[in-house]
Amino acid sequence: MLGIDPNPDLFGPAFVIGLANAGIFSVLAIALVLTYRISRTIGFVHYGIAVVGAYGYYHFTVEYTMPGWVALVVVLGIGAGVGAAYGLVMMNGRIAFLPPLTLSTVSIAAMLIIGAVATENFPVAPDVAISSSPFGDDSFRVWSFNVTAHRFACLLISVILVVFVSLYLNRTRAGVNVRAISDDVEAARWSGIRLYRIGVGSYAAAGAMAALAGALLAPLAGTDLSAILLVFFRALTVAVVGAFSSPALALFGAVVLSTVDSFATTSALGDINPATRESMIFAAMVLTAVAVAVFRNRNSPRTALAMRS
Amino acid sequence: MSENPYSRSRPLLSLVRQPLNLVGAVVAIGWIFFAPDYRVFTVTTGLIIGVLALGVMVMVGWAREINLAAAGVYATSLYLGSWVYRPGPNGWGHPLVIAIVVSVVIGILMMLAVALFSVRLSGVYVMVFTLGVQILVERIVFTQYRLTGGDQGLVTPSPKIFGYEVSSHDDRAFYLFVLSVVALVLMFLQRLRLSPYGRAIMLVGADQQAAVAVGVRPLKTKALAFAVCGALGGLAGILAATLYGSTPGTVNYTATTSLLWLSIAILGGFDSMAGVLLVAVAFQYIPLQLEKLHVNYQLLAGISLLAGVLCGSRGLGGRLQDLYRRLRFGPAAQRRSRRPSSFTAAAEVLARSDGLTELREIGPSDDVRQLALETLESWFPPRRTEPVALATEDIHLSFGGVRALRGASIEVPTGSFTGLIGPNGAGKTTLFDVVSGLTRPDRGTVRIFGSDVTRDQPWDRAALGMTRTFQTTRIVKELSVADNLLAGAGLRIRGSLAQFAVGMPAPWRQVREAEEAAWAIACLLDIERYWDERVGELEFSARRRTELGRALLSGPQILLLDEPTSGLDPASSGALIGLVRRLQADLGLTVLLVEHYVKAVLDGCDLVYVLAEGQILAHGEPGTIAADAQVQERYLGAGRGEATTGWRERLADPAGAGNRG
Repeated sequence: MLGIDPNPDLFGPAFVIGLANAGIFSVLAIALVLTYRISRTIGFVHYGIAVVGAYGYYHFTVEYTMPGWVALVVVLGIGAGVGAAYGLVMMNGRIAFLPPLTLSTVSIAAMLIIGAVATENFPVAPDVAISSSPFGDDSFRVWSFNVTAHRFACLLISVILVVFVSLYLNRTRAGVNVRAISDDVEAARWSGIRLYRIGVGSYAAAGAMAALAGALLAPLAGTDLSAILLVFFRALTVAVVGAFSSPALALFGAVVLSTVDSFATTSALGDINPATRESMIFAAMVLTAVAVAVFRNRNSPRTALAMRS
Repeated sequence: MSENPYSRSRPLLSLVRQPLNLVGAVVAIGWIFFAPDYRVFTVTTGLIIGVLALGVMVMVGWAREINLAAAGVYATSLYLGSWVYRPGPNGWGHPLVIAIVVSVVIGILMMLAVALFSVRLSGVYVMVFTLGVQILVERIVFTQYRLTGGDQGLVTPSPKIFGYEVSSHDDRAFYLFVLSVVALVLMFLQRLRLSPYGRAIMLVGADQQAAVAVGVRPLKTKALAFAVCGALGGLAGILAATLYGSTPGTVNYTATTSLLWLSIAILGGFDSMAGVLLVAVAFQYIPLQLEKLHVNYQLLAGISLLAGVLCGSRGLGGRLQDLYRRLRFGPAAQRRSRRPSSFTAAAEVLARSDGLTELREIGPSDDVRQLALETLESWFPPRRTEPVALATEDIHLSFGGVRALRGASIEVPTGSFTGLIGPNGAGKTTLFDVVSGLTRPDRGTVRIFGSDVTRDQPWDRAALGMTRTFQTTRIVKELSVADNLLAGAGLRIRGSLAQFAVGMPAPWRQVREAEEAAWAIACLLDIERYWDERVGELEFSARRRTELGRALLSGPQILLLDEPTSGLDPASSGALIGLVRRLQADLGLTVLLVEHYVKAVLDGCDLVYVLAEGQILAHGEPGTIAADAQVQERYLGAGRGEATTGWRERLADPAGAGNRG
C-alpha cells in the first residue's frame, strides 16, 4: 500500500547521497541549537536569514558576478550582522525578560520581516535560480555515486561547526555564560555576565551559520522559498532529535533523516510517492520528539506535569 | 454584603449591556447600504478570516500555544468541504449543512491529531508540530489537483439557506449571511469564555499547576482549545469556498499565510473578540486601499506580530478596552477609591511599637460576614465527618542523590488548623507537592479521608475536596479578580460544553451561583472592590488573597497553604493568618499550613508538625512544640539563653562573642 519494494543494489548510493545531503540542513540545525541554548526559543529568524543567504549569494554571484568564495564571505558578514542586530533586540531589557513563547513569536516576526526585506532587495529571476558553488564543480566517485565537492564541503563544514559549537558551549566560560543567560536573564545580568557581549556574539554566530546554510543551499535548490522552508523544517526536525541542546545529536539526526529521505527518493525502497515520504518523515519526527521528551522526563523528578518543555 | 454590580453570568445580556457593542452591531449592518460592492466583498473576506482568527485566538491567546498550521487546516476544510457540497463529477452534491459539518469535523480532527502528540510536550514542540502539519498539507492535499482544481479552480455553488439562494455575486446578501455566522460564532465564544470550560482553558494556558490544583484536567482542556481552533478554521474554510464561487489556488495558503493569520490573533489580543475581527478586516482592507504602495503581506505580518507582542498578551483590542474604560470611568486608582472596603480597619494596628507583631483577628464587618457565609453555605459541599482528613505514611522521595523526604508521616484531623514548620530545605514544599499530587513519591502512601490517593492525579485529588495555594503567587495577571476567582469554580459546576454553548438554563444557573459565591468570598477577603480590576495591577497582598479566594471557590474540604505570607510585611502576614484562621472556623475547613512565620503558627494552629531533613522531628500542640528542646536546637534557635539575648547585648559582651566564634 505504501509502495515499499526494497532494492538492495541502491542501498549504498542512497546512503552516500543521504550522508552528503545531511550537511545542508545540519548547518541550519546547529544555528537553531545555539539560539535555543541562549534563549530557550526556536530561532525562526534563521529561516529569514537563510533566505538572505540564498538570495544574497545568488545576487552577488549572478548579478554582480562576484567569485563564489567572495560572495560567501560577504553573505556570512551580512548574516552575522543581521544576527547581531537581532541579538541586540533580544537582549534589550524590554524584550529579554518576556516568556519563551513570546520570544519565539518575536522570532517569527523577525523571520517574516527579514525574509520580506531580502526578497524585495535581492530580486531574482527566474523564480528558481541556481547559482554556481563556491567550492567548484568537481566531484568524487563514492560507491558508484558522484559526490560533488559542494556536498562534501557542506558535510565537512557541518562537522567542523559541531566540534566548534560543542567546545564553545561545553568547554568555555562563554558557554557557561550562555547557559546562565538562558536559565535566567536577570540573574545572569546581576552575576556580572555581559549580556550584550555574550548574547549578541552568540546570535551573530548563529546568524552567520544560517546565512551560510542559505548560501550553501543556493547552488542546490536555488532561491525557491518553499525549498528553503522545507530545509528549515528539516533542520527543526533534526534539532528536535537533539532536544535543541546538542549539536552532535543534531548532526546525527541530520544524517539519519537525510539517509531516510534519500532511500525514499532514490527508489532504494521502491517507488514511494512524495506524500507518503513526507508523512513518514513527519511521523518519525513526532515519535522522536515524544521519545526524547519521555527520556528527559525519566531523568528528572517524577512530576505529573514534568513533560512541559 | 452589597450586591455584585458587575454580574456577567448572562453572557449575551452582558454583551448587549455594553453600549459600544450595540453601536458596533448597528454600524456592521448599516454601512453596507452606503458602500461600493468591492468594499463589501473585501470586508466579507476579512470577516471570514476573522472567524478563523478567533479560533487561533482561543489556542494562542487563551491556551497559549502557537499554531502555525492555520492556513493548512483552513485550506483542507475549504477543498474537502466544497467537494462535499459541489454537485457533478467533482463533488458529492450534499446540502450545505452537511458540508459545514464535514469541514468543521475535518478541522477538529486535524487539530486533535496535533494535540494528541503535542499537548503533553507543549510550548516549542507545538510550534514545530503545527508547522509540520502545515508542510504535510502542502505536500499531500495541495498536490491533489482533482480536489483543488489546480490553477483553474473548481466551481462551488452559492449557499442555499432555507431554500433561499445567497448568491456569491450579491455581495450584500452574502455579507449579511457571513455576518450572521460571525454573530453565532461570537455568541458561542462568549458563552465558552464565561463557562467553566473557557475559564479552565485560560487557567491551564497561564499556569498548568495552578489549574490542576483546582481540578482542571490539563490535557483534555488543551485538546478542547485545539478543537475549537480547528472547528472555526474549518467553518471559515467552507464559508470561503462558497464566497469565492470557485476554489482558490493553493498558493494562497502557505506557511506564510499561517503566520499572517497568527499575527491577526496576536495583534487582536486574547481579551477582545471584536479586536480580532477588526484586525482581520483591516488586514484585508488596508492593503486594498494602499494597492499602489505594493504592501508586502509578509512584511505586514511581521510588523503586526511585533506590534502585537509590544501591546502585550491583551493585544490591540485590550489596549483599546483599557482606553475606553479610562475615558468612561476614570483612571484605575479613582475607580477603586469610589468603592469602599467592607473590611474593618483592624489590620492597621497589628504592628506593635516594640517591633514585634500581634496576631489579631480581622475581617469584614459582622453583617457582611454573616451574609457572605449564608451565601457560601449552599456553595460548599457538606462537610466530611471522618476523623482524619489527610494522612501521609512513610513518604520517601529522592531527587538523584538528594533524599528530600525520608519517611515523613503526618496526620491532619478533620476540621483542624495544622501547621507544618521546619528550616529551609527540610522538604516542606516537597511534601506538599506529594500530598497534592504534583510529585509522585518513591515510597509511601497518601490518604484523603481514608482513601489511598497515592497514584491519583492532582485533579482527581482536587475532586475529592483538596486544593492548595503556592509559595509564589500563581494567578493570571491579565485577568480580573472575578475571572481569577471563578477559574476555581469548575469542580462545583455541572454541565456539558454543548449545554453551555446552547445556553441551557440549568448550567448557567450554576454559573450565577458561582458568581454569587465568588462575590461572597471576595467580600470575606476584602477584594470585592477590585472585582473587575486586572490582578496584575493590584498590590501583592491582594494578589495573595485572590489566589486564596480561587482555592476557596473550588469548595474544598482540605486547604493546603504553602507559605501564604511569603513576601508580605509582618503586619500583613499577621492579618492574613488571622483571616485564614477565621475562615477555617467559619467554613469548617481542614487547613494544613506551611509557614516560616513561626509566631503565627504557634499562636494560631491546633496541631504543629516540625519537619527536618525530610523527617518529622516532632509533632503536637503548639505549646509542646515550643518547649521541645530538639525543635529549639534544630529550628527555633541554638539555645533558649542565646535566643533571648539581644544582639546589642551579645555585641557588648566580647567574651561571649569570642566563645561563639
